[in-house]
Amino acid sequence: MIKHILLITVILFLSVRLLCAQDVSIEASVDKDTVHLDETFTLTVVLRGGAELSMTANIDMPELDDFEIINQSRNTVFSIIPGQAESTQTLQYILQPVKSGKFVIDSIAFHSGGKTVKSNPIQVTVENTVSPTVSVPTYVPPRSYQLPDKYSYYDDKDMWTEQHVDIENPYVNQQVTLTFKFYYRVNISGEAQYQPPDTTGFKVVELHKSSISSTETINGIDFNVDCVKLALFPVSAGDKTVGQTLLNVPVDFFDYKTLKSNKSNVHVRSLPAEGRPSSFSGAVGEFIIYGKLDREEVEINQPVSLELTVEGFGNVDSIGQPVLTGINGFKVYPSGSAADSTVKDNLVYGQKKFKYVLMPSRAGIIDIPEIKYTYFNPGDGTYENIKTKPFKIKVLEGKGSFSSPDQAGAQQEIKITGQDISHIKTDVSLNNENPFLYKNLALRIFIFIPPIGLLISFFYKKHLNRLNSDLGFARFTRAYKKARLNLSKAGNETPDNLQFYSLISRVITDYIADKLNLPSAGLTRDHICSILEEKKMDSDIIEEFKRLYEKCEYARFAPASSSEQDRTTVLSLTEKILNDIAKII
Amino acid sequence: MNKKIFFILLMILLCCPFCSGNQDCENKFKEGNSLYEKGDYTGALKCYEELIKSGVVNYALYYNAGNASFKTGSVGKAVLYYERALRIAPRDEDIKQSLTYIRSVTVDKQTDENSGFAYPLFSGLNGILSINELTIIVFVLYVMLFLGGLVYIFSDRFSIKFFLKVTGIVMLCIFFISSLFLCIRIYEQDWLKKGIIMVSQEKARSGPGEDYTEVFTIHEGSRVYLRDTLQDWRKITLPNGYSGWIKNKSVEEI
Repeated sequence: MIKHILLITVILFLSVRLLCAQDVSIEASVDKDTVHLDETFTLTVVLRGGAELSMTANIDMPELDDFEIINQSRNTVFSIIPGQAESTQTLQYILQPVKSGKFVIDSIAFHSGGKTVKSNPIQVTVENTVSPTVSVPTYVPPRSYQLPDKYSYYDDKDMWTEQHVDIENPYVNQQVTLTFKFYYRVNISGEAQYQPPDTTGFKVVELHKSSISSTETINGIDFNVDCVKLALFPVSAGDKTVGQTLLNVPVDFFDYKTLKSNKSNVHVRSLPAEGRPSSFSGAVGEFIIYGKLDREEVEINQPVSLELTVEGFGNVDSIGQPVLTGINGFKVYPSGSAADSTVKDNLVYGQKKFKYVLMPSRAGIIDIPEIKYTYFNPGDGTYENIKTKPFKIKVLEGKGSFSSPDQAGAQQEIKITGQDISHIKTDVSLNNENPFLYKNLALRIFIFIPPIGLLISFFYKKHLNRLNSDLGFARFTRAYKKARLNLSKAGNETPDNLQFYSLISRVITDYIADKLNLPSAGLTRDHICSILEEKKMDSDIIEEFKRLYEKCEYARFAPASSSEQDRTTVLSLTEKILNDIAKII
Repeated sequence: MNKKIFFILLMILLCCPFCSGNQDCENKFKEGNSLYEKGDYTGALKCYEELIKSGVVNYALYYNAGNASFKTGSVGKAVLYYERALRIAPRDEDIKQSLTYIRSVTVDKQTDENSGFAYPLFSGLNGILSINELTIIVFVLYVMLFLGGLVYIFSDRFSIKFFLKVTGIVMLCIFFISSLFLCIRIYEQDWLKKGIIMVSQEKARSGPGEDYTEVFTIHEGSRVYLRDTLQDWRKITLPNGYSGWIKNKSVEEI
């Protein structure tokens, strides 16, 4: 086992020595040897060697006083193949000359492992002129140069924007297409945020909902291009400027780079006065006109709707109302307009519909002549006339009324022309009104009646319910009333002595039985007397009661012996005894 | 029978003096209207004010008096009469329109109290029902609840009792809400007294006297809340919360 480990260690040691013994080379080149003063060029230095190259790379760059280093970068590629390790290091310098003339970039020395390797010197000629291509990027790397996958440095040559207008001398309301392009050839870690330019003095229509992506090759380099197009319609004549378009490009997860485009200047011409017809209403572009009637046969005073459509390329807002002339036999009421636009081949295409209500005033076949319209064609710089076909309407006699929905368009809002107080009231009877009824005394007193009434009713109903349900209570309550009733019955309605004394004897007996809730049949004279004594009744009254009871008993068995006078005496005596007993029981 | 005849005769006798008085009032009112239509606004106002002083209370009379006042240039008086008319007839469009117009021509900007959909709820249905109408509604509900209560006590039928219980709860709720509205209105009427400035311009001071600092100036036709009275001075509060003392004679209670 130890032997194996030793063997592997020796092999590895030998392999490393072998790797370190690789030869190194250096190569320097420029992307172009003749440059203009305002141009940049790229100096590329490629080092090739063994594994130690990356660690020990020590380059002696010559002094570059005649150039300004705009940017520099370093890229190392390390590869191992069986038995051989290779490392390639690429250094890139973007240089801009500071003066004209012929310059030599001296040899670039490279020291590694005690060896020194030098590149060949490079001659560069700088011309004292300005680059003929200003808007096109001049940075052209060597054709053999391949961008690594994770290429991640940014500068104006890898990412820039530009904008331009297609017409620099447009007429008022003529479409000017503003094209904004974003060129880039590096990875962007997100979506660039577009900020539209300042377009004061223009009506703006977006030609696309979102940017259009494509690829362009510039000097052999492929660039991704995002393009945004806007249609601008200058609203007045004069010099105008379309401001800078800003683009916030995410360069990494946290950072944005803001790219600014150039401004675009536009000189807007006013529409020529020469050849301008009086009927011209402002339409600029290329249009056609056509019209249609909602019906061709109507009765007098029935409205007909005429719809005129002006359609074509141009700013639909500039399309003015067609003037209807020479229409006899109709009253014409304009009833509104509606505009609609879309985009066709990067040009704004739209239509504007004008509605009219025609009220025929006479019967017969009425001709409406062709309706003319004038627009300005900015391509030719001339005014052009277009027209509809003529119309024919058959108007019948009738009793039609003005009832079409289109009538609304011919109506107008009622306007307030003055304001004043309303007129006095004359047809009103002068009833005296009490403004404060709640202060009325009777009303205030009345407020107390319902609660008191309800309270009384409640207890009365309770009393009635007890009378119905509790027989003893009912007898007790009604005892005196019943006794009085029997008494008066005996006095008034009983001619017969037997019946009279029978009733009289029952008056007292029933009263006591009802009051004490006892059966009256079982009450004897002695029983009643003992009850009265219990109730501490005066003994004289008890004696009187005994005498009365005996008299009644006697009279019942000898009814003929009783006179009218006796009956009256008995009645009054009974009444007296009843009242006395009622005080106690 | 004799009692009935006596009662009828008594009613006729009682009503006759009122009838004759009312007829005079009607004639005076018509005279005022006729003068107004002829353009004699001062004469018309005189007629209307005589009726008002004699104790006649009528929304049309107040309204016409407001119109005549406005035509004679008394904006304050016009607002006062319109406000009184509106208190009796809160839904009358003529009064509302005239009052809105006249408020737009007063010097001081007056905020419309009746704005906002919730205002009637918090003001006891102000602007929808007059205080009398509200009183009658509450009174009728009260009587109905009383009668319903009586029937409920004396009725032995379950269906009647059930019906009365359900309707009684609903009516009781309406009664309480209406009573609440009435209480708000009575509170506003008797405690939050409102007045109208009757002079073209009045300086409100910080206290009841000429020596106190002027706090604001108020103009004819402005509506104010009336507070304390001290000798010839009256404390007023504006709807925006400003308060000050003005001379008692410069303001008239609505």
